[in-house]
Parts: sequence; structure tokens; C-alpha cells
Amino acid sequence: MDAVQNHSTSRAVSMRKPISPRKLVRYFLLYLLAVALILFAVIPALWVVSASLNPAKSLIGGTFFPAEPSFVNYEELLSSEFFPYAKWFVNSLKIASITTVITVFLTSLAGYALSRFRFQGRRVLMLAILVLNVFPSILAMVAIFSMLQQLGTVIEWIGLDTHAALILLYSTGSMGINVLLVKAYVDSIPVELDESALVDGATPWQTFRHIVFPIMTPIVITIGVLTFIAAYGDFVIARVLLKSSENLTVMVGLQLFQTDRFDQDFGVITAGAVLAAIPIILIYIPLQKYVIDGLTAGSVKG
Amino acid sequence: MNKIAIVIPTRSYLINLAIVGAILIGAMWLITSLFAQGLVPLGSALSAITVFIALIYLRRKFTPLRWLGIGLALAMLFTLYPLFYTLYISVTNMGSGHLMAKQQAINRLESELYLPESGATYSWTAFQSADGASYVLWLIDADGTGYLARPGSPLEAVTPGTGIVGAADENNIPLTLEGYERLPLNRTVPIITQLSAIDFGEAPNTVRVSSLREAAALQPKYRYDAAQDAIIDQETGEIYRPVEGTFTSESGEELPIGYIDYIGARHFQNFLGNEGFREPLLAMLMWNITFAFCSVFFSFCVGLIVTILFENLPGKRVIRALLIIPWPIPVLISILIWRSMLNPDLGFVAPILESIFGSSPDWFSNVGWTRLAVVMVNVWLSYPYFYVITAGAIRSIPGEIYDAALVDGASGWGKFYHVTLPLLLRIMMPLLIASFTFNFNNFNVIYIFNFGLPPMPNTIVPMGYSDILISFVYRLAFVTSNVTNYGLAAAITVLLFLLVAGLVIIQLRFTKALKETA
Amino acid sequence: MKKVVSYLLVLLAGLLLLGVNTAAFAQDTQLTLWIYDDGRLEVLTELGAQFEAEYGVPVVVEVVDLSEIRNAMTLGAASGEGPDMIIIPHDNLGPFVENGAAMPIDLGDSAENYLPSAIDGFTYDGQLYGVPLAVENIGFFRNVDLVPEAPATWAEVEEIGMELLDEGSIDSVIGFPDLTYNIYPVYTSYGGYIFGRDEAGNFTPDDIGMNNEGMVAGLAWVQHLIEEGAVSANIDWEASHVQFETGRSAFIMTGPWAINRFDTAGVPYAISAFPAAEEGGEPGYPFLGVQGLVINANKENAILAQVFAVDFLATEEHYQAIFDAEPRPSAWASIFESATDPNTAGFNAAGINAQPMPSIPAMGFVWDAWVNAGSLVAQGELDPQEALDSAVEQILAQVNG
Repeated sequence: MDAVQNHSTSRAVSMRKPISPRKLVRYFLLYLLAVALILFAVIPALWVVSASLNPAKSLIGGTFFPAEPSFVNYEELLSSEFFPYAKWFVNSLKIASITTVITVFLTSLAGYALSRFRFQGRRVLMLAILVLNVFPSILAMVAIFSMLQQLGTVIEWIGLDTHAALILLYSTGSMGINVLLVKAYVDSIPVELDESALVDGATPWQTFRHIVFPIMTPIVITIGVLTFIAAYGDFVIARVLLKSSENLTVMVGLQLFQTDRFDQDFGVITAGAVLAAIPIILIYIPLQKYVIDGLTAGSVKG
Repeated sequence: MNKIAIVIPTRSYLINLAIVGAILIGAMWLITSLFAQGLVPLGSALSAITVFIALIYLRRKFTPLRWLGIGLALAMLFTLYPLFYTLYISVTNMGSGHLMAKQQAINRLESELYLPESGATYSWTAFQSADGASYVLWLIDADGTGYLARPGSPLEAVTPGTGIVGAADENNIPLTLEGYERLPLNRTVPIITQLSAIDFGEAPNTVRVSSLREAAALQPKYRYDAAQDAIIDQETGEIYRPVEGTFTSESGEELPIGYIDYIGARHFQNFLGNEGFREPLLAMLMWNITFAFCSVFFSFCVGLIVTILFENLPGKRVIRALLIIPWPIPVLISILIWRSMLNPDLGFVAPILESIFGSSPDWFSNVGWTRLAVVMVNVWLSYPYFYVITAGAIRSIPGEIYDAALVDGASGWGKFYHVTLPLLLRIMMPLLIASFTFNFNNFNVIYIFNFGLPPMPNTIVPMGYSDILISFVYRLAFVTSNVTNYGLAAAITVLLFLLVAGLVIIQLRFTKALKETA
Repeated sequence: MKKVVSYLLVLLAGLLLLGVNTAAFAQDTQLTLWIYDDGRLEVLTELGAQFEAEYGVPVVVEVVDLSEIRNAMTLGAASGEGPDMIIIPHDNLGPFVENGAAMPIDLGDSAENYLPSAIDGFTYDGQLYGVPLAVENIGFFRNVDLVPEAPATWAEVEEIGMELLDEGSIDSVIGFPDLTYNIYPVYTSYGGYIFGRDEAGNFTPDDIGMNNEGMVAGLAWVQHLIEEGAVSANIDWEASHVQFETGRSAFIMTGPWAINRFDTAGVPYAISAFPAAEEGGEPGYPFLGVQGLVINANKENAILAQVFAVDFLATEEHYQAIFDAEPRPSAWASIFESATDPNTAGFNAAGINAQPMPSIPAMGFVWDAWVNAGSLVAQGELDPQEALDSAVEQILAQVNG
């Protein structure tokens, strides 16, 4: 924010004078716009929280805030013997965390290499990443399903209905565009830094590990957060691969709740949704600044 | 700047070699197991990947690729392989009745059994040898005669209480058998699968366990004759020859289990050559582009408003913190929330709109309103991202440019229109384009919000007005029917991929041109 | 580079550990049973535990979406993946049989214990492929506070409803959860049907009734109600049920699954036979749905599954337990007949002429086309004849590949 702030505060200081009526009207209109936008942004989130606190079994039109808020829905959600929500929650966190670690590790190496080394096929590789990235993998489900089934006959733990298979799929899927983001970021780090380290006798690995990687923190955190959010939020691939109830993720579970026969328990679904959103928000808030830095640095370099 | 000229110490090279060797041995084991199971395509793909890994880690020439090695290997396995596999499926008849490889189908047919007219049925009790390795059955036929049945030797009619056979219980089943232990029900059932695979008695008059209550002189129904490439029905003598993946008799009778067979470009012809598809697909493509464009455009606009208009407003931190709320909420949850909020009969939005405007739009069955709703939901999901990016991009515009504009006497609007916006657009163009491509295939919003409905009238397969190509194919292939034509679905997938890949390449040209003029 | 490789090793080791952890409980012999709705999850899990106590093999029961069950049964066929047993509505049977995925079942003498119509539902080309658990058909519900006497014709339904609507005591004359399965009796009362039967009694796609006069007349009545504002143009399962249970609609056509929620809501209701098209006409009849257990013939444990399904499950005691857990009419004849409560009697009266839903593969193409035809009429895009003609075209186009 620094540049913008400096710039605008200096202007504000130089032009400080009593608030004119015109400015008042301007402020009023801007606040009106802000309130409208905030309503648009916040109401859905508030609505799901309020619905989760509504003890009534189904939604009845017109009531936004429940008359007698209570935590029954949460109790019901967490006490269900047959739908182990807590287990799903742990599964989701586990899958998303491991995916994040793998993706961050692989993409920082690859992004660094693509930025710093010139080798045959580099341009083709980057083009391939861009093009393959748009392959509609949802539609390749039959192929992925068959492949995992076959792998599973030899190595059981990367077959269908395993977390390992899902993690590998997510890691691969999120590598593509992230590699390019890392590359753009590394491009913006002066190459002289590496060169002087190499001249001092460091190996390329040491240069990367001790010189470049620490500077890459914002992009690494950005990719980590984005990958985590994507892996945690996916339900399409997970739904096809995961079957046994103890293996499901929160998102697949929520979809299960949503099928026809569960409709009457809308309160329970919303309670599940609220709880499911918490980890992401907890991760996002403290890291928000880095994400903004990481994303914008990449985009600005283009 | 290939500066990997530093000498790698021999010891480290040896360690490297050992580790790569270990990985290779593991890979070899995996590959041979796959080949042993007849999974040739996957085995070959893994072989290629292994060779690739070995090359880049052992040859100095490929050193830079080592940094990418594992990632590339994963990408080959989990992205390229499914892509090629999809390509392969698109030229086969894979679908209902054709779900396995030929050998698997043959194995499956050869495992079918039948009871010849002369064949006897028995009730049975299992005995297990002391070492647990072999089993003997005590069979009782319809007349009540008991037999001792061992694998490989003829059935022996024995009276309980003679020889090794102990005295019988009230059901004429011996309580003991020398060297064997009679298995109670709760130990018989867990091994019933193994038992049912054993041929008791001497060929050809063998007896098999066919259910908990029955063992019978079952015979294989089908035999595959490799010489004439045909399945022969052992019961009737009928010969079934393969016709496009289906074993068919002379009279045209077909066996239910067929195999996946090559059929060429037929799916592509059926799809592209079908008059009925063309017009609705064109309409769908138009909407697909509109949807992607509007999503990006409006998200960008809202992001821009948040960045620019609120810049000097007191309290902007709070405003922005609140405005970023939609971002961290998981997409599935967000869409479900919108769905229930907008429900015309149950959501809270309808009564509010009704009290203001006297009526409330039909967000799920009216074409225009549904389309508006999906764009609105999508903008809600993505504007925070655009706000963040825009803020960063504006920060990178040097302050001097503004000062120059101020000197020129540009007004607030003029400054924005003539200075900020063009610069911003140029900086953000690659991201806007990437976002367009992403939204072009944004399955989640379309499918979860309204399954692509409302329906289009008079189409030859069900299509919806809010369907985009990807959701249409998904529905066609995996949801609509219980008789799936995977071959056709794969063919459409390939076409869709070519279309989007084409878009990406055109965009690359476009951005390059933009950069060169800049 | 050394470090890169050691990192890789750590990574691989981590994955291996993860795998060991996941694979640990996949080893022993066990049976998996997939069901598509949760109502019977608890009782089947208990029965599974009983089976384990008696026979030493655990049974894992999972709730899986019906479309995922279909995918797993077909795509899983090649390698023997997928569940050992599934519980499905009988109309899904055809494609499984035609792919060799459903194992023939021999109930022996026990077959006599079942309702003949239930056995009929799971019989395909003369062979039984499932153990029927329950039969169900929808019934005609009315709010007895608002409507004490059951109407005899659809015209009466409309008349009574419109009066209440004009008074302002209701928002919707009748609840339509959908415009297909749940209002099928409207179509049939006018003479509509989906597929006819050939001489052998098997349903055939050659005789398709989807766009006959009766179907059109039925849909025209629905269209008329929507145009009058008697029902919402937004056909929504949940909304129709909520409106009925809050007393805001006078009638609804729905099935036994709604009983629990209506009881919880406390709405006074009665279930009766469906009205007829005209005074003295034949009342409309619903689909008969049979739910049953099908054994996956591609799994090596098929014979073991048969022990569970035929030798263990199929006793009166177990069927009673299933019925008690979720009161859908049992496929076990004596339990079906002994259920004398008014609800069951109401459903039985409504379903007296019920016809099994066709289970031929072509039925798979019917639903989407039919749903679309209904929506198109509800939105006023097409008239009933056009909409149903188009649905037939879609079905035939897909049947013929």
C-alpha cells in the first residue's frame, strides 16, 4: 500500500481545507455506494450464519434473523454417528496441507529454474503449461478414474478412494499456472544477486536455498494460500474418487448433505458450511498482505 | 545463462546415482507389475516417464531440467496421460456393454458357470486341514447320501463313523474328520470366496461351492478359442465371433459382456455432422463467451471501484476489509448460499423485492434472470481477487505520471480515463485474459447454481440456457442417463479442449502484439 | 542437487507413510453396501454388525449418490472396483443387467414371502436380479383442516383450491414436487403412459406413450393451474413440501419419505386415492417403485454377498426391523399386509393399480427429457404437445445412439 498512501497523503496535506458542500455530497454518495457493496458482499455470509443458528427444520421465507437462535444444528452436525463431520474436517485439512507443501516445493524449484536457466525446450515447456492448464480435467474423469483404478491394482495406496491419489492430482493440477506466477516473481528479482553468489563459489542449489528463496517469501505464501484454498474447496474430483464415508472431505460431505432427502436439515448443512469456512478464513486473514504482494508482483511484471 | 559449470564431487554423484537407481528399481517393479496385469498403456507411459527421469538425473546435459524433474513426471502421469487416454477413448466404443479390455471380457465370460442337465447339486460343509492349507467338503446329495470331496480325486460315498470319518450329527454331517477340523458357519463364510474357487472331485466331474446352501457340478459356460478368435458356448455349442467389441453369433445373438474396440472417428462425425446439434451449440457457445466476458468485466469494474473510489474515503480500511469477505469462503458453500437466498418461494430475497417492486424475478427458470444470477454470483465470488490485483497494479504506476497529469490540469475523471485506466489495462491484460479462459470453463458456478437450466426447447439432447459447454458435456456424459457413452463424451471433451487451447494461443499472440506496441 | 534428492526422498517417504496408513484397513475380507439415501443407513449398519457377529465378516454401509453408484458399477467393472452390493430403485436395473454387472439371484422357496409386484420389479427378461426390500408409491395428500373430504376429480381439486386461494388461506392450490414422477397420476388419469409392454410383458421402447393425448391433457391441466396463478411456475421440491407442511397449500402428491417431516411439522393430513380426469373415470395411478439389493457380479466376493443378501437378510425379523426404522411399505408380504395404520392404508389405496416403473435402459433417457418438457411448459416457452413431442424426439435420438 505504501506507494499509493504516500502519494495520496502528500496530496491530501497540500490540499487540506474545510470540507466543501460539494465534497460532502461526494462523500455521501460514496458511502452510499460503499454500503450497497458491503451489503452485497456481507449479506450472503450473514445469512448462512443466521440460518445455521435457526433451530427451525426448514427454511421459511421472510425471516432473516432466527427468532430463537440456538446451536442445535451444530450439536446435531457433530453428534451424527453416521456422518463423521469431524473426520471429514480432519481429512480436508490433511489433504489440503500436504497438497500445499508438495505444490510449494515443486513450483518454487520449477519457477526458479524456468526463470534463471536457459535450456532447450524452455519456451515450448512454458507454452505447454499454459495450454495444458485449460484441459477440462472434470471431463477427463473417465480417464483419471481408469488410471487410478489400474494404479490401485498394483499399489493400493494410490488407487481410488485414497487420499494419496487425490493429493497427487491436486498437486499436479495446481502446478501449472503457479509455476508461471513464481517464474514471473523470480524474474523481478535482480539476477546480479545470484551471479555474485555463484562467483563466490556457491552451488546453484545453495544460491537458490540461501539467496533467492528467502526473497521469494511473498510468492511462496501466495501460492501456498491459493493451493490450500483450491484443494480444500474442491468437490468435483474428490466426489468422483472418494467413496467410503471415513475418507470423504468436508466439501463432498456437504454435497452429500445437500441431496434431496437431506433438504429438511438445511440448518445442519449451513452449520457444516460455517464450520468449513473457518479454517480458510483463519489462514487467509494473517496472510492476506503477503497474498496481495505475491499476486500483484507477478501481475505487474506481466 | 547455463552456469552449472561447477564440478560435482564424485561422492555426491555416486549418492545421486544410488538414489536414482533405487527409484528406478521401484519404478521397474511397478512397470513390470502393470505389464503383468495386461495394463499396457499405463505401463508404457510409466516406462517413458522413468526413462525421462533417469536421463535428466544422470546426464550432465540435462541439469537444468533436474529442478523440474519431479514436477514434470507428475504432470506427465496426471495430466498428459489422462489427456492421451481421453483421446484414445474418443476413438473407441467405450460405454455401456463395452467397459473392459478384450482379455478382461474373455476372463469374465470364462468365469461364468452353468449346471449341465446331468449335474447334481449338494448341500455342503467345509473341513479345514490342521495346517490350514487345504479343504475338504462333506457333500450330501438330494437322496441324503454323504460324500467326501477332495480336490483332484473322485468323490467318495462314505458312511459316517467309518474310516477317518467320525460319527454324524442329526443332519448326517460328520462331527469329526481325521486330520481336519469341521468349520462352523462363522469361519466358513469369511473364506467362502476362496472355497468357491476350488474344484472338488476329479475332472471333468468337479463340484463347486455356488452358494452357502449349495455346491453343484458346475461347468464353465464359455471357452475362448484363440485359434479362431471366438467364444464357444459349452452348453449349446454356439460360436460367438467378435463384431466391433461384441461377441455375436451367426444368428446375430450377442453376449452381454463386450470389450472396448477401436471404431475410428465415428463419434466425431456423429457429433459434428449432426444438424440438430449445430444451432443450439452455437447459441451455447455465444452464451459461454458472454458469460466469461461479463464475469471478468464486471468483476474488474467492481474491483476497480473498490480500489479507486474509496481511496480517499475516511474509513476505507474497514470498508475494504468487509468487501474482501467473499474471497475466503469456499466456492461450493458460496454458491449453495446464493441458491437458497434466491429461491423464489423460500429465500428471503423474494419477499424483499416483492415489497419494493411488487414482483420478484424467477432466478431459476427464466432465461434472462438465470443468466443474470450466475454472472452476479460469479462476480461476487471473484471481485475481491480483482480488487487485490488492481490495487497492486495501481501501486506500480509511478507517481510522476500523475503529477504530470495534474500539471496538465486534468480533472479527477480525466486523470483516471486518460492516465490510470490505459496503464492499468496494459498491466493487467494478461491476468484479465487468464481469467477469461478460466471462466470459459467455470463449471462450478453454472452447475451448482442451476445445473445449466432452464432447458432449451426442441433440442435433440437435453441442453440448458445457462449451460456452458463444459457443464453440458458433463451432464450428457455423467448425469443424464444411466447408459453412458464414454466414447462420445471423450470426443466432445477433445473438441472442447482444442477450442479452448486455440483461444489460449490466440490470446498469447494478442498479448505479445500488445507488448510489442507498448 | 544432493539436497534436492534427499528432499525428494523425504517426500516419497511421507507419501509411503500416508499410503500405509490408508491401506491398513483395506486388507481383510469385508462387504461393502452402497445405498443412495440415508433413511435406512442406521438399521442396515446394525444388521451389518449382526451379520459380522454371526458370520465373521464385517459389512460397511455407505451413502453414495445414485449417479456415482452407476459410475462405479460400470467404470469399476473392468478391475472389480466398486461396491459388493448396492440398494437401488428397480428402474436402474436394466443397464446393470445388460452389462453383466448384476448377479442373478435365486431366492428359492423364500420367493413366496415377497409381494409378487416386488419380485416383478427386479425381474428382467424372466430372471430375478435383486432382493426386494421395499415397495413404494406416492399418495394424494390433503390438509384435512382445509379439505375434509377427498376430491374425486382434478376439476374438484382446482375448484376447492381456488376457493381457499381467493380467501387467502393458502398460497398454492396443490404442491407439485416435480412435473414427472410425483404427478404421474395426473397423466395416467387422462390415459398417459411412458413405455408400453410387448407380448411377453417386457417394456419396450417401440411403444412410447410420452406424447400421447393423455400425457398432453395432464400437462395441459398443470399449465392451466400455473396460468391461473394456482401454483407457482417455479417447480421446486422443497418449496412444495414446505408449503404443505405450513398449511399454505391444500394438497400435495408425494411419497412415504415425506411422512416424517409432515408429522414433525404437525400438519393435519390424510392420504387417499388419486382423483380421476372426470366424474366416474378411472382414478390416476402412480408408478410402483421397488427398492432392492443387487449384487455386483464383477466382484470376487459375489458369493459372499449372496450369503448376506439371501441367507442372512431375507428373514421376516430383519424386514420388520427395516420397516420399523423407516416406514416404507415392505416388500415382505406379511409385513406389508399387517401394516394397518391410516397412512399405509392411504398409500395402498392410492397405489392399488400402480404400474412398476419401466427398468429398460431407455428409461434412463426419459427423466431429463421429461423434466425439461415440464419446465418448458411451466415457463410458457412451449405448449404441452410441442414440449412432449420434443421430449420423445430427445429420447429416441439417444436410444438410437
